[in-house]
Amino acid sequence: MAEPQLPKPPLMTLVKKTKLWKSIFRHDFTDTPKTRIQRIFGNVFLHLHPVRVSKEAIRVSYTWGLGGLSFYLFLVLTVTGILLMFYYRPTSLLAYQDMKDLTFAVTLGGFLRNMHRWAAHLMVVVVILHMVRVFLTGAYKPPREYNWVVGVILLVMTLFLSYTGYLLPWDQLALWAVTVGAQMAANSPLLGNEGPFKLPFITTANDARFGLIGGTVINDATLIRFYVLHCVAVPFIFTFFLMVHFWRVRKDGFSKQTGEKVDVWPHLVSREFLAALLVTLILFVWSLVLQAPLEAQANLNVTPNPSKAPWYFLGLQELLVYFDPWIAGVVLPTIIVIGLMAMPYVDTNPKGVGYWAKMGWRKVGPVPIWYPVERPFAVNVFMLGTLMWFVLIFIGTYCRGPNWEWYWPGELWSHRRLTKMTLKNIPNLWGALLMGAYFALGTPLPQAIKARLSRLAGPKAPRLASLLMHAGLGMTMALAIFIPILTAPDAEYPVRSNSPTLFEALGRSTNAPVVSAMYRLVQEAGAGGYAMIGVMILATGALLGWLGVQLAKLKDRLFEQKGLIKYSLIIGLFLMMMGVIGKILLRLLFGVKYVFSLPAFNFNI
Amino acid sequence: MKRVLFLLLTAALALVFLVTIAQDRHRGWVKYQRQFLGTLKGAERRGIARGVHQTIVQGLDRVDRCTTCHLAATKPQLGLAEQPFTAHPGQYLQWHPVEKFGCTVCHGGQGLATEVKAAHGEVPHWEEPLLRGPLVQASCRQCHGEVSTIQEHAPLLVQGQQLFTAKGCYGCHAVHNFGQTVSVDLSEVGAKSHQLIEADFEMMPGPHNRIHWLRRKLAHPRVLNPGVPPEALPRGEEEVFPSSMPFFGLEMADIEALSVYLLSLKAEDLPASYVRPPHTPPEPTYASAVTRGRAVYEHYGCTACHGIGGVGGRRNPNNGLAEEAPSLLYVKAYYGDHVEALKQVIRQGRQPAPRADPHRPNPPLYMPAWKERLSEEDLEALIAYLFALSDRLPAAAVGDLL
Amino acid sequence: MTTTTRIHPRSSTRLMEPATTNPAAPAPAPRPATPPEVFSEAFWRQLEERFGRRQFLLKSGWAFFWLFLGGWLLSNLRYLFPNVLYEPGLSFKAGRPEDYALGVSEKFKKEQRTWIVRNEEGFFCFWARCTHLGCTPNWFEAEGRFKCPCHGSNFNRAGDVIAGPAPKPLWRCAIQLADDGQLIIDKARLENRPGSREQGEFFFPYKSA
Repeated sequence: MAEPQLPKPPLMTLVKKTKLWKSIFRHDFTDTPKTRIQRIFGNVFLHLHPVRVSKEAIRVSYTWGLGGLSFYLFLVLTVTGILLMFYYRPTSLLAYQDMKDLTFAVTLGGFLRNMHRWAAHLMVVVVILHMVRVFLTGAYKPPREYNWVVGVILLVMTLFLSYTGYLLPWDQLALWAVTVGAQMAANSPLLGNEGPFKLPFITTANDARFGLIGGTVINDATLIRFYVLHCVAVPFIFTFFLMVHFWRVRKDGFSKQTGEKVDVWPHLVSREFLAALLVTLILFVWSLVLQAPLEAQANLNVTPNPSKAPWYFLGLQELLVYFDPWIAGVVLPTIIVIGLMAMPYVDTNPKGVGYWAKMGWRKVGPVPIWYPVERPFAVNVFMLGTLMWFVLIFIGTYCRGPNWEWYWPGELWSHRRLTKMTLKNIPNLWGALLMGAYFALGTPLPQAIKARLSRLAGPKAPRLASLLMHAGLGMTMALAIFIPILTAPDAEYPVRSNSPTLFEALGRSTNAPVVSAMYRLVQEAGAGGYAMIGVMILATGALLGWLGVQLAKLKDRLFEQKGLIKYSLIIGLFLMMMGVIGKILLRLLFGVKYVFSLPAFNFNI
Repeated sequence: MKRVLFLLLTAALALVFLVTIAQDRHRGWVKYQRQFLGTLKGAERRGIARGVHQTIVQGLDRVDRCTTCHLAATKPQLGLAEQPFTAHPGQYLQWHPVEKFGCTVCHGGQGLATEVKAAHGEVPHWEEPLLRGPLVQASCRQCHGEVSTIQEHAPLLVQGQQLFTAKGCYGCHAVHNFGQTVSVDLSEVGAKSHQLIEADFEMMPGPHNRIHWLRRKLAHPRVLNPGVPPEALPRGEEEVFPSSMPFFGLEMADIEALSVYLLSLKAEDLPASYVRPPHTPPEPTYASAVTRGRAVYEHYGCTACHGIGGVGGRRNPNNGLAEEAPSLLYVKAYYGDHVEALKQVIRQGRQPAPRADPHRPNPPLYMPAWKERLSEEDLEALIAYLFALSDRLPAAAVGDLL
Repeated sequence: MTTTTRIHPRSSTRLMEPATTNPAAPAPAPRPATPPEVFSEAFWRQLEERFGRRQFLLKSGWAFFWLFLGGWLLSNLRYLFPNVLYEPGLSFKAGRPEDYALGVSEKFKKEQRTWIVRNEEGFFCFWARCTHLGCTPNWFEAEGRFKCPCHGSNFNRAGDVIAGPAPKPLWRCAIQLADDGQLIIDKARLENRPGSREQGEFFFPYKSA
């Protein structure tokens, strides 16, 4: 027993020598260059990162951590969602009762429900911001085009997850949002029972809506269907695309590759951890202060007035006011999604990768404007589209009251307000002319034709030709709007309308400010009024023509750069986007319902 | 910098977590339970479990948690003087055992809730407000369809039902297929969705629920629906008629009784074991044609427009007619020699005169047709009564008004 | 690979003929038991020339695989369309015509989601479902119109759109008189085209005598 008294080693050192410890942790955790790498390599989760990244690429002001936060919120939603599932039974008799139970009788039940709801809202915001960030830093450009497409798919699935989750509380809010959403499926072309050009064998009992809600009315079959989609099916597919997304981020590399490199552990990992902590804190406070909405139990006989979708769908709901459901609910969303996916393939401008879009001042006429210098068309169009979407969301949220009537923000809503909105169709021939002239605005003047023109008629000829073409088209559009409104008979007179002409019908209504102003002019000033209207038409035509001329240079350049196919795709999408604004203005200012209408085919534009 | 941020964030998160737990622990009912248990001792105290109490009523698909706070409701020996700890008064719980009936089927409110306001249904999006005080009588009719059998326990309900007939409400409103359809069917007015009366709510002070709406409507029908006169209309809009419901000048007590009766009008699908079978009252006998005619006059609700005893005087906005529903005291003078013509008027009613402009709506009040509702004998008796009215013209007009 | 020696598939059978039949010999009696000529060695040789045998097997294998997978996915899609529904019936009895006053009756709105309208000439029945996106409109008696709370469509007494985005008039249900003197309404049969909707099974003529 004369062994030397060794100093007793600390307990952790002993533990670290055990086989068990070593089987789990393959390296030690002192901070050395080697372990920094081992931490990333040796951990399946951290392995999503590269070992070293450019210092610039992880600056907060560059990424804002939005991609990572989207994923973190997805994890929060998964965890809170799984917890909520323990108390939730997806049947129409019990679902609403279970919501009440969560609120009133389950420890932290209401809190978890709040958190699930607000995290979902936050995730939509963060995903959209992530997308805007990726766009503005050019991170979708080659070689990352395909990952942008995957990102668009993930965005769509985020929205679909929100939509399916919306039904589960089985309250009025849920029922009516889903009723409206499902009805859009019934309006899809070919496969919807109420859509245009439906196939001969399609009925309410086998169309797209039937497949979505599992019956002809929303009931238990719909609830279980949405429950499975929300909790299992969509998250499953979502995870699949998420894996592809991450894998591609790793393989394609970050968009910013230049500059000094730093170790991901601890520089990036610590930032991610801090960002997650911040978002957790925000979610906790949010869920403490604000209760998730729960209205009266679902009741098909009473639609709440007004009945609003969740905010991220309100842009779509507002769009549905101006267009036929199959356009607003099916065609436009499809075009938006396809347009977003096609973007990296048609935007061949190599500039702007790895830094925020460069802005500069530029003068348009006398007005100085802040302008994206390197990628003017791409940035302007994308931001205009995004802005438009949020303007529509704003209108839907703050400017729509009972019976979906227009109220200014802050104005008191009233269920007693009297309105008689008069909306009239423009005769089809005029409408076709209007749309034809509008889309003809997309015609470019190719270099070859310009050259020939200057050879034939002097150096000023190409500019003159462009001017004539745009002025002509602008004037045609103005005439195609005003002439039918001023002269066409009201097709609904005398059965549904008191006025024999469109001019009188719209002029006497309260919802077509431009037409009623013209009507008053004519009433009060007679021939002088008509003269002023004539001036107005000329001015409108000139304005539209001027806008066309402003675009001419850009169009011609785009055409030369991109070639016919890409050019048609770009200009078609662009004109459609601006056309949506135009149609909204036609509705709000002129009281025009459709410019082209074939009721027998459910085809109205 | 990062370390400071880390510390701040984690500290804040820990704090918020504590607040979350504290908020969850301090629910409304905890305070009441502690307060009540403080008044008890020994076995009594041990006999009351802590936590959420609930009664599961299988037959009615209801779960009521009212007894979480109303701890003495089913234990009369423990009852205190003030709410929420009073014992349930009367023998009602012996007749209606809590296990079979629960609480909310009679008292309304939100059985699943454990916060005071939510449980009493005084929150948005819960459309069953607590039926306070005598209003609870409105629930009796769900099972006791024949309310006269529970007269002593539900006096207001019985009075309300009698008033409904006496004031002639059936002349315009139908209830379960009896009564005219000049105005809305009232068979389910006791469960009318708040979302359908939002427009009326805008014309009255809160609280905005069905109970107050009914009281208001009965007291001042036209205040809730004043209509919009043509001169106040926006351009191109159609005239909106005010409510055509007459002003009955009801007393507060009458309003309360009628409210109770109207609140009782709802079609809840209760299991057969809960429902008391109705018994058909014997066919009434009348001394003469005139008494029978008077009964017909009152039973079918002619009083609403033509007044008690046919004195007339209700406002009638119908275009082309006089502005008042005509008095019936002169019926004999007009139709004495033309009984068939009078029968024809009663059978056909007086439809609103067509408007000059077909796009304008018709005013909502008119005399409905009675041909399918009155038997020939009833019609004869009614006419005998109407003729008798003019016989005693000078006295009747004054006497019946009072 | 074998593009230079590609033979048109139709011509291949003709090419096989000389190798398998002898024109000089008398025609042999028909022997049903012999395997069809297409499986002869020459046939395989032809195939070998065209695809290579292994290529052919592989391609057919993939063809079967995609046939299986596509069919399986399609039948799973079909699986999602139920064949029986737990939904209330679409036809109901709505009481006797004489119980209705002139105007719009909301009596069956709650139970059956329909409005029954009586006018001077007779009865018709609306399905209380906005033709825009399926919300339930409200009836405003004083204003004489149905207003939808979701997107602001307005319909008049005849069900025609007078405002808002709805593309077509309200649907009318088939309405007839049953043997027991009650109105019988069938929501499975719908019509909203002016002209057709005012006659036949969608309008029940009824005049007060």
